[in-house]
Amino acid sequence: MKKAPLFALIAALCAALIPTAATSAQERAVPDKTPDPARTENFRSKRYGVFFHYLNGVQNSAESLNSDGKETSWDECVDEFDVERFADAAAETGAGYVFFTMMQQSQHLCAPNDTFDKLTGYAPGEACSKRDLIAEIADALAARGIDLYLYWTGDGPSRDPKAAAALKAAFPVTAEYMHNWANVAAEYGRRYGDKVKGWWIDGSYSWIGHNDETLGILAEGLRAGNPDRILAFNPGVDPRVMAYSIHDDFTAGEQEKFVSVPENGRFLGGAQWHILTFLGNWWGAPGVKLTKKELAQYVWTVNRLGGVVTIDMMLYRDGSLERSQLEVMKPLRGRLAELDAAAETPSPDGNLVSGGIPFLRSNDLLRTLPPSCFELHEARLGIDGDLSTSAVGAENWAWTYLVYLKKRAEAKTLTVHFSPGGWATEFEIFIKPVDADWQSVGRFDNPEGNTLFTVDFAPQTLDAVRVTAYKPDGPDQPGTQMAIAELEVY
Amino acid sequence: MKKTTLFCVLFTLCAALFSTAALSAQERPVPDKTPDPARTENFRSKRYGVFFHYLCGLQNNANHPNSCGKQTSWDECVSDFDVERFADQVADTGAGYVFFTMMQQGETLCAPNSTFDKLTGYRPGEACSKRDLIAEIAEALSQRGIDLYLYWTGDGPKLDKRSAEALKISFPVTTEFIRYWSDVAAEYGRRYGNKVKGWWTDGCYTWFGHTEETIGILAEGLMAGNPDRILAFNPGIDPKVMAYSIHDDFTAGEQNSFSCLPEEGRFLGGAQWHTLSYLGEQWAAPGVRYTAEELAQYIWEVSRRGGVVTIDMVLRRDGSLDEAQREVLKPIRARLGELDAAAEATSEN
Repeated sequence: MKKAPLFALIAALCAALIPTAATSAQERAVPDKTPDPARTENFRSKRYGVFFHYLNGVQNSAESLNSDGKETSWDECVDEFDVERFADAAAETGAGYVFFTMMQQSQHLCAPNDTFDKLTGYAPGEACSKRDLIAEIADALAARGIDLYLYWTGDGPSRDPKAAAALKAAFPVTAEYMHNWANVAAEYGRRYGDKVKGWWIDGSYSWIGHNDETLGILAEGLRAGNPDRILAFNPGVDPRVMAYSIHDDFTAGEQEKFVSVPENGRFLGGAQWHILTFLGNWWGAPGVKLTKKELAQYVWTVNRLGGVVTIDMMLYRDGSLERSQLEVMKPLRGRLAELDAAAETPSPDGNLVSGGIPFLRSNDLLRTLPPSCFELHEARLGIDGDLSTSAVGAENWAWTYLVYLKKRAEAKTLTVHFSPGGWATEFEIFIKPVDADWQSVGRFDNPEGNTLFTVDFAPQTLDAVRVTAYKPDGPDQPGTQMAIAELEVY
Repeated sequence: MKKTTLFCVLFTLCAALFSTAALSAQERPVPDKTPDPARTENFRSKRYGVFFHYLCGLQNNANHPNSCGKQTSWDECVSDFDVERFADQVADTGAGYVFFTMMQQGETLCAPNSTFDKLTGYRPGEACSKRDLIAEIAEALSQRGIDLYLYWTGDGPKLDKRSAEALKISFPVTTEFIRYWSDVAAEYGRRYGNKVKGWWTDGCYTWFGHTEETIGILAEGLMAGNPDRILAFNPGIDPKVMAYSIHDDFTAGEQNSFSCLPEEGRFLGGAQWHTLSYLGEQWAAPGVRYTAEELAQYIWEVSRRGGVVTIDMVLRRDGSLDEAQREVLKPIRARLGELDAAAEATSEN
């Protein structure tokens, strides 16, 4: 057999793995679970929260920006954390809750744990800090009306040989490994009781051997001390927020962009719809991906459709938060209230999409497109009541104009005005009734370039509408790129 | 004729402009100018500095992260600026100099200017702040051994209708407009003297109608008060750092990344090689696109070849800098020293 270069082998291996993961998400069975609205109502009511990575490799690595240039023992690092400063900053974000990591992949945990020490042989302070940072954070946040959730993992301290050997870490994961690891979590759970409202569990991937049985073992340990504690197990980054395990009370919803929104109401496979992604350039990193207005519009839209949003921010060793991110977060709670009030105000002309939340989207709905020619064709211009302006998506010839109604309302007719010279030759109009999938209400061929189309449908209460252009999908074709001058729904 | 949508027209226009600019850069003659090493030696010796956008649309715009959520009169905004905090944090970065914007496109300037007020009819504080922020910053930086350079523009306060009428702003630019605008700069120049070491002048684009004549008029005003002041005029973003005007003492060098290196030594068309780009995701934006080591290696390589690097950072209304960006810059000066020592040791062997 001819030898293959190493990189070719690795590439082939990656190519095999990636389709498997993607296929898994598409083919994954939706858990057969009855939603329990009361169980996640407190969580849902908070609307949004924040997430912090607090790890030895981040806050205690001199090369990491989050470490303030310091690198000490883990115990000293934990000692330096200013809980009051942290809680004050968290309160400034207006967040209803905080997710805080207890560990990730290594043996460093930010609170004492006898179970872990006995299993591994580590002395207190060597792996589990002597300071109970979690207990202090829980109290400080509670004093400010903020709930605490914790981050755990389904792959445990797999990168530390001593802990891995002691816990019998193995991949595919075994029941024995999960029992050991669940027992460590249970000690924390019993100690914190109702001060910890839930867990987000990373590394619960099917490709490391997790299934509902192993997740069930973990779930039992994670609920110790508080039966009302809600859980989410992370299957990895799916194409959009998707259901995973029967043990999920809420979706882990790990994403890399603020795009995915609840498409079929509050629950997915019986779990509360929830998304987690990062405000900066990466997890725990600086930068601000969205403006204050964009973030408010996104969170408001998700809330209106029944979901919850968690926003990862950068946390420094001393407990302070990244200032630019804090500035973006500060007005969020207030802006949501303004959007709530605006949604209650009927539009003067009765147009149900007036004041709605518009998006320029790729036709698979997975990407938000920038406007063509910057602000000249922003999404809002398709529902601004002015036929001389238009919304046009850039980057894709064929694209979708999607508008979420500011308030669910009964509708029976939709009119789309294309700009003169901005008409698609093939397009389709869809409506999205509450708690139902998108429905087509008309597919049109338009070789003549008509710019006005009205379609009537059976009256129903709607969440959203969209117009999807199919042709032209490239240059030198009849027609021109779709430009929405106005959308009306009554 | 088939109607074209507005966006098609604009897209075509944008494409035409971009094409023109690209061709201009390639075809632009290199100024016939003899380098004057002594004139830019102080600048070159600093190796790197930092650049700050301080503007009404940023620090005084409640929607912008740099505003700390505030939006007030311009005068109140300028009053909020904590100069000592700013200077301390700049010193943390190890920067040898600072570039600070005085204005951009609007009528708000961050120091008094009676020439501007008389021309436009604005009262003190309405457009030009009553507080002389530049004078205070110059003093505070100087105490910390940091030089101050300022940012000006070749298109003036064009977005303010009143100023535009008063200064006779038009495009292509006219000598009349540029003389008025140069006089405004000259008042600052005479006031600050050698406390301001130079200017980086944006918007000197050929497609605004700028020529060596109009740039020369600006240069005269910008040099007022300090004949040793060094100047750069920005032609726009070239494919790489390129020479532009005979009036350049150093290249404006605006780039979208820290990647360009001096190819022909210290001087380009007689001007000191210099580049300016941003550390965050965009100008004046948060984020860190480079690690400390990447930036140190880049700066070291540029300075080894005779060039100078300026790094744009976030500046907030209260004078504070972005902490993550500061953390990236903090170790750079020392790292440059280590790289120098290592190079020295290698050459001795």
